[in-house]
Amino acid sequence: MVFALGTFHAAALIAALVLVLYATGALTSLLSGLSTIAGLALFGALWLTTVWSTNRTLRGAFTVAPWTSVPYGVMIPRAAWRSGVNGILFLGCLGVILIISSASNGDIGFLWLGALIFATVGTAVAFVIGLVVGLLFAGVDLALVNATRAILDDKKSQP
Amino acid sequence: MPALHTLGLFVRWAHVAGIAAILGGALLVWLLGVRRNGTNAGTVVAVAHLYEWIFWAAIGVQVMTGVGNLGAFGEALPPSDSAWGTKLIVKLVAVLALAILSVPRTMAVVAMAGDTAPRLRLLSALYGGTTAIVVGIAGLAVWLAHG
Repeated sequence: MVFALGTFHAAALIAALVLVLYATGALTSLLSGLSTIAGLALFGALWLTTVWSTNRTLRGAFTVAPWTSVPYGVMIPRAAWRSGVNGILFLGCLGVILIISSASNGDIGFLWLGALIFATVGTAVAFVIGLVVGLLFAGVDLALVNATRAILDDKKSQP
Repeated sequence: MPALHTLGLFVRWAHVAGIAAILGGALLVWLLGVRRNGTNAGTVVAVAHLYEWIFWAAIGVQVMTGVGNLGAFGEALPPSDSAWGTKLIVKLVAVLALAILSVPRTMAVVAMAGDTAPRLRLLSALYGGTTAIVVGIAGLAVWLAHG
C-alpha cells in the first residue's frame, strides 16, 4: 500500500504539472533545457523520496487496509510535516543532479552561488511547497479511502 | 549507435512495455474473475495482489518515460492548441484519471487479501473498468504516434 500510494503521489503530481505546463505553453522551454538522463534521474529521485515519505507518514495507519487506525488529527499534521521534509530531500537530489549536469557541461561558474541559494532560501521554499502539496494529497487520499469503504460496504458487491 | 540514441530507444521500449504490462495484467485478472466456476477465489486475489505491485511500478515508469518521450521532441513539440496537442491533453487527463481511480482498486484488493470469501464480482468490475480505461489510453497513444 505504501509503494502504491507513494507512486500515486509522485506520478499524479508530475502528470498534473506536465498537463498544466503543456496547456499553458511552458513545457517546451522547460524540457528543452533538460537532458533525458537528468529528467529520468529527477523523476527517479522524486519517486524514491515520495515513497520514503509516504512510508513514514503511514506508519501504523493501514493495519487492516483501508481502515485507518490512526486518528485524522494525527495523520494530517504528520502528512504535512513529512511532505515538507520530502520537499527538502527532493531539493537536495535536484541540487546534486544539477551540479553533476553542470559539471559535465563544464559550466561550474555559478555553482557555489547556486549551492548557497539552494541551502538557504531554497530549503525554506521547498519545505513550504512540499507541505502544501502533501496536505493536498492527504485530502485526496482520505477521499479515496472513503470511496474504497463505500465500494466494499456496497451490498451489491457482497458475495 | 550513439549512446543518447540508444537511451531514447530504451525509453520508448520501456514506455511500450509498461503499458503492455498494465493492460495484459488487468485483462488477466478480469478474465480470472469472470470465470468464477473455473478459478479458485484465493488464486484470483493473489494474482490481483501481485498485479497491483506491477501496476504501480509500471505507472511510475510510464510517467518517467512519457516525460522523456515529450522531451525528445525538443522545440518541435506541437502546441497544445493543435489537433495533436488536444489528443495529448486528453491522454494526460486519462492517465491522471487512471492513477486516481486505481487507488481504491488497490486498497480493495489489499483489504480482500485477508477475506475468507473474496468478492470476485467486485474484482471483475474493478479490473474490467481498468482494462477499458487502459485500452482507451493505448488507443490514444497509437493515434499520437501516427500524428
